[in-house]
Amino acid sequence: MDPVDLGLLALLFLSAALLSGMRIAFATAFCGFIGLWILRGYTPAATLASMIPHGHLAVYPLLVLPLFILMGYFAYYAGITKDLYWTARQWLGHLPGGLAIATIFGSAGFAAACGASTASAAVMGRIALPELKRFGYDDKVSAGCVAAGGTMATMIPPSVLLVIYGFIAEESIGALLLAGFLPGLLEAFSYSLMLFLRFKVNPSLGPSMERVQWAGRVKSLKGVWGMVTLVVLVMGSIYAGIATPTEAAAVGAGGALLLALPRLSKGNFKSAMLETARTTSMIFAIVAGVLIFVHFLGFTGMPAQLAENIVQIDTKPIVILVAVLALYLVLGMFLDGIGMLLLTVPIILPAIKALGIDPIVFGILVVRMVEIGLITPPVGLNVYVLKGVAPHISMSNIFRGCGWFVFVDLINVAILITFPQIILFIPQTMIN
Amino acid sequence: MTELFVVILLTFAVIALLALMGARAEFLQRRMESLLTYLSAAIILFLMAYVLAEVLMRYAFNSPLPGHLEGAELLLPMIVFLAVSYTQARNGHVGMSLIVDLLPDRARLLTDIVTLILSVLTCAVLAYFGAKQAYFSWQIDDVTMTPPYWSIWPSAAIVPVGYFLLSVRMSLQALQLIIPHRFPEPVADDLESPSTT
Amino acid sequence: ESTVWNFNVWGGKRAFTIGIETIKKILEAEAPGSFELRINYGDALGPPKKNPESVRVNAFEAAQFCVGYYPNKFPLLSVLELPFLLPTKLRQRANIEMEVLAHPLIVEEMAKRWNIKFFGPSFLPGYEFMGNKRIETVEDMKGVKMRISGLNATALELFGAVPTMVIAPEGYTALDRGTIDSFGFPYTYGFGSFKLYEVSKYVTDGFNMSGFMCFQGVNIDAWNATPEKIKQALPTAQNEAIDAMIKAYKEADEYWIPIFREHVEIVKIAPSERVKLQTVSGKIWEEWADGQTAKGRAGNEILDFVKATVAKYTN
Ligand code: NA
Ligand code: NA
Repeated sequence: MDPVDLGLLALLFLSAALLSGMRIAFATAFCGFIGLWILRGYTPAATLASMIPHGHLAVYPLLVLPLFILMGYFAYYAGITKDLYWTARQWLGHLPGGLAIATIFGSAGFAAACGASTASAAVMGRIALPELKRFGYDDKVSAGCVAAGGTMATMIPPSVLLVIYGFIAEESIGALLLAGFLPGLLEAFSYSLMLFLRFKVNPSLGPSMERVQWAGRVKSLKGVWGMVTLVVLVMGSIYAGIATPTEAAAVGAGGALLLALPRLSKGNFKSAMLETARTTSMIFAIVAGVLIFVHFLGFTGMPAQLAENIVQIDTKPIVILVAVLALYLVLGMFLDGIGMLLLTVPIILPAIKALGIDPIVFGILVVRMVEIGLITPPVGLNVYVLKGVAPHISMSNIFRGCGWFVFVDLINVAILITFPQIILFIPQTMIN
Repeated sequence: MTELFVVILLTFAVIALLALMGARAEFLQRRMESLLTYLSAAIILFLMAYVLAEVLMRYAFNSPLPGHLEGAELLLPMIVFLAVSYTQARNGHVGMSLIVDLLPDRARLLTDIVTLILSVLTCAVLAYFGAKQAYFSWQIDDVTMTPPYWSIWPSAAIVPVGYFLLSVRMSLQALQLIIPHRFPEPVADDLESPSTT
Repeated sequence: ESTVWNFNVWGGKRAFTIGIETIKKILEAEAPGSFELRINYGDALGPPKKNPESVRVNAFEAAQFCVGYYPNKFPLLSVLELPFLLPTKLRQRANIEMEVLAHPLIVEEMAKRWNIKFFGPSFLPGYEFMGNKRIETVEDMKGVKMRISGLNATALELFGAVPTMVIAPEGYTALDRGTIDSFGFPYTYGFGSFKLYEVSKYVTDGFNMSGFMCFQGVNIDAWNATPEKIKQALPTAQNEAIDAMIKAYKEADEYWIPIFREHVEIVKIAPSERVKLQTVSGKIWEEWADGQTAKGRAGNEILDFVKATVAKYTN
């Protein structure tokens, strides 16, 4: 059989395994191992597969992940997330869909303390979902808000995925993180606009809150100080040359621990630690499994073939860029972000550079597509995580709730392609 | 190919042993998972402290910790694989139940058992060959790039330990579906965090 | 039936990979349709630090290796990474490397433990330092946070340097913000591709430190099963690869040095300063050899061989 066909067949097989409820971490490892077995024989396949987890997880840039997750949980137990959500409600609650919009801005604020979309979705899900339910907001909309809102954690610095992109593309990670800031804000505002319009048209989705007087709103601003402290600590330690971007994650986690200490019970401390261990383990088990599958795909040459075909098309660079991003949309339905980046960026980036597209712009766009992949079926990590927090909402309803957000995301991508200055403005101003 | 049969044989031997042990196996596995997850959490805290110590030593005393970067790298697989079975026990590994939820009870039961057994075999292969690799790493004294040249094998050895416990855990889960009378539903223990439901 | 080799290499196409691209071109032209060398960039086939283990079991036939990532995997070959042991000229280094790689002890180390045969060159240009502390003499290194690994770090430490590790992609921010003072990289293209010149004031020219010893290796069984024509063509292909790499590095220099000049001062390191570094490093070489001998390996023998080969090519 032609290896490329084998790759496609394996993707089908993987989809079937996933649809039959097999855990992603094991379904990917299983399909990847069987594929390697077919191509390379049993012992080479088993040896290679068994080395992939340690070979790819014991790498420095990935250390930020448990640290960012820990920071997120400590920030959560320090009440930072709740405070932010409260402040957002005072300012935005009175709008149509106010509580939903406040959830988006709460997530955007929390994104500044949290580098992983899944962690953000898990934490915001715990805080916002009960509130949204209490006020009778539509389950699908609520779940969509949290799952899609969580993806902003990947765009607004700190961001695990941008660190990984920078690592693969050998681009400045500092510049990449700064570049994500405005697209992240754009995301927050456009989600809110969409929610505003939807609730305006269909008020039955959920009620508005009572309008809060300006004095009350200004007073509520004290709720953001925890988040601001963390941002200052993290950005400040990098800016002052005290810590590298990776180390700043430890500074952030340590800072969040200090902020949390006054309120932190022994039980909550234990929870924060165990949940960090569990979330880290869950994410990395998937990374390990996906990378086994991804390396198998590498042997088939299928991804390289796909990328090559797309880049060789004789047409305008912008058309190719859109086609490449469309490819990421499809891949994002199945693959996890880290695996997808690891697989495709080294192959496709030289072509992208040859087309005259800025690698930082491309990085933001690709990571933006990966974010979309987090909330599209059948493999949507944020949706799965949210499902863990909200067992009462069915998986398909969460996916459905994300539909409108994916639509807005695509418009966002179009805006970013048209005005790449949104991406480049801050890094260019800050670094030169 | 002989190794394939060894792995399959060992896997089913372990499953048979677990079936014989019944609820006691569940109890022991749970104790082991708790212990290792506390260890994983402790390593996370240590990692944070270790990185902060590097920052402090470098910035304040111009004397960074030797081998810090690589030492920190080696902690990551430990964090992940010490907690991996615990995560599975608490349904923490994500999957799609969209379609299987629609199946009739018996078909669903069968699907769950089959996917669990496939996962058990996969993890058993990774555990067996991972252990061989860790042993090889110990044999050749594989070390990191820079003095003090940390040994790689302790970190590499945690990976097969994690996959082994995972395959035991998922075997237990399959046994709970196949012979439920011998494996009563496990009760939540003190590790269950108050904020998760 | 066509022979296909899967070759695993990390990163993208660059000067560093010109050698393997050259060999691919020559060998494939030698036996059209019956031999294919598939170069997989971006470590598409497996984790880069486990390349030796993967080639050992023939998970893929061939790969790129750098001893510096795992000095104990190729203990004797790590002789080529000893600080300031090799001469400054790239051509001389390449010649010495080829001789060392053909030494029976090295061939045995590769074959016995790894089932690997040396296949093609993949050397790096000498290391220099770019950053915000001016280094002109060995005294200037005192208290300077320099990013460098392995025994090179030990050597510079003897002059009061403070070896610090940050990963390459963080180099830009670390230099920009002063987290570290100086970054060691193969000159020039390492600095160029990470744009470190944008955030630096100085770059040295004359350390010419040998850093990572990198090469291409192939599984011996795969090699034995290769068409005879390919085997015969390899030496020529290797020489062409050396030429192509040296040319590519020279072109990189011609491209980057004018750009560096606009941003940083290029500080010449006098040969007499390098001699100081070399002299002090002699102690590290001996310690290395004794350490190998203590573990039952022919450390002194291989060190003496390298020293003799260096003398042969530099006199
Ligand atoms: Na973030
Ligand atoms: Na998806």
